[in-house]
Amino acid sequence: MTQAFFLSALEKGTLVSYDPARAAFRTYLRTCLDRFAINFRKRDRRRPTAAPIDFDLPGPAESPDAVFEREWIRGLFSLAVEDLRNLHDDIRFRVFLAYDLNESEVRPTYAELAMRFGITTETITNYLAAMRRQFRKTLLTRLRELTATEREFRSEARAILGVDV
Amino acid sequence: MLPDSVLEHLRNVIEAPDLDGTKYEVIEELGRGGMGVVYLARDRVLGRNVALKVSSSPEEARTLAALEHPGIVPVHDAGTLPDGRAWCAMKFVDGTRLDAFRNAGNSLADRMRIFTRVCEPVAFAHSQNVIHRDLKPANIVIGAFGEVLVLDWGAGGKIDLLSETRAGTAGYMPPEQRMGTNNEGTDIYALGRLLDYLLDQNDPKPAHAIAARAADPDPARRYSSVAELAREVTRFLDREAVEAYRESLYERAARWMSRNRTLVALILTYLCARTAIFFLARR
Repeated sequence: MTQAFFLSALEKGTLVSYDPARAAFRTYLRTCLDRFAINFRKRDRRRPTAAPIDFDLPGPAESPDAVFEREWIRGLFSLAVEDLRNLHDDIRFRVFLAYDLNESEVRPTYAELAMRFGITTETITNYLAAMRRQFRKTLLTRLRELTATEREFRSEARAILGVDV
Repeated sequence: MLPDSVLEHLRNVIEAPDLDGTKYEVIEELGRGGMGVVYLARDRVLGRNVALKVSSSPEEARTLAALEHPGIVPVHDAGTLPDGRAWCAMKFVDGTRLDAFRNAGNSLADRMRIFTRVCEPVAFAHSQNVIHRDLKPANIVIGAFGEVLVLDWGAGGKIDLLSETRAGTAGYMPPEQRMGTNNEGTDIYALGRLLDYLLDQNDPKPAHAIAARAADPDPARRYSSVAELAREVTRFLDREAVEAYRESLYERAARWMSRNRTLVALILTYLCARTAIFFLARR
């Protein structure tokens, strides 16, 4: 369905016809996706042999807006993490990876990390603070790329990150 | 793609203020509202804890700096974070919030006295042309020495700069504030709601009448100033008649006797003695 959406968008020039003066890119994309999903479903119903497509949302209480918002933020953060990895392929990123990007339920303590990397806990604190600072910058750079105007950029930065830039 | 737990953690850590280059370090988050996030932070140079507020505007720090009053939490320091957010370090008040105080079973007189103490800094701010706009139990703290402090002035500011902007908490916002009207009446209404919150159903009618008049939906029928409201509460505490309540003859007599207990007791003793002497003399 994702591939079908982008194929349709490229064929019809949907994304090219975006007008920054009328709405934020995120809102525009959301509207395009909604329309595409409705049409996709209608077409699917007309085909008697087609396999049913599950339109259920991840959580029973989650609205499509909340899911879209969350996935948008997840995409943005994932891109920023990759940018950070490319920028800092060193011990600082490995500390950031081991602590802030740790997927286990319990994060290691600073002391455990210090022992693992053979540095002091103060250095762990400093590395994490530096990487988080760099991560904020990377996020804002990515957000600037994903927004069409300065006004939209500032509005998105405020909505997603709670900052006035 | 990042899993939910990592995404949530990253959102939290990037939101935490980057205080590099300042003398403060964050200990923990104390609370958050529409106007910003408040952290407990440590001043490394002076070795003391402060309440560090991070918000989108530096206006609150400027407002507070202009209001020097014992009932208004003082600002120690302020600045801008690398991401553009404003921060200000304020005195950390480790006290009892008004809602906890109300539920602690204090007497009516104590509750009313605390209320008059809340009125003092608000009246002072009004004299400086500043309103609070978000007076509610969570924004009032009673310190260890009994000092009453009004916190969180982030929604308020100079009246002429607040025209037609909306802020506040449902239940404490007057009807006209929802339409964008901001003036001293906004705080008087909230104080009325606050007084009502402090009262029990069984408390005297005049106390309820004061709260009702302060929180009258019609701004013209409210007290004209916070000072007037405070004077009315003081009259109630002194067992005098209050303007907000028209009492019956019986209530007036009861209040007079309550106010002059010693005199009433003396008169009664005198009358009893006179009666006793009268009967003894007749024998």
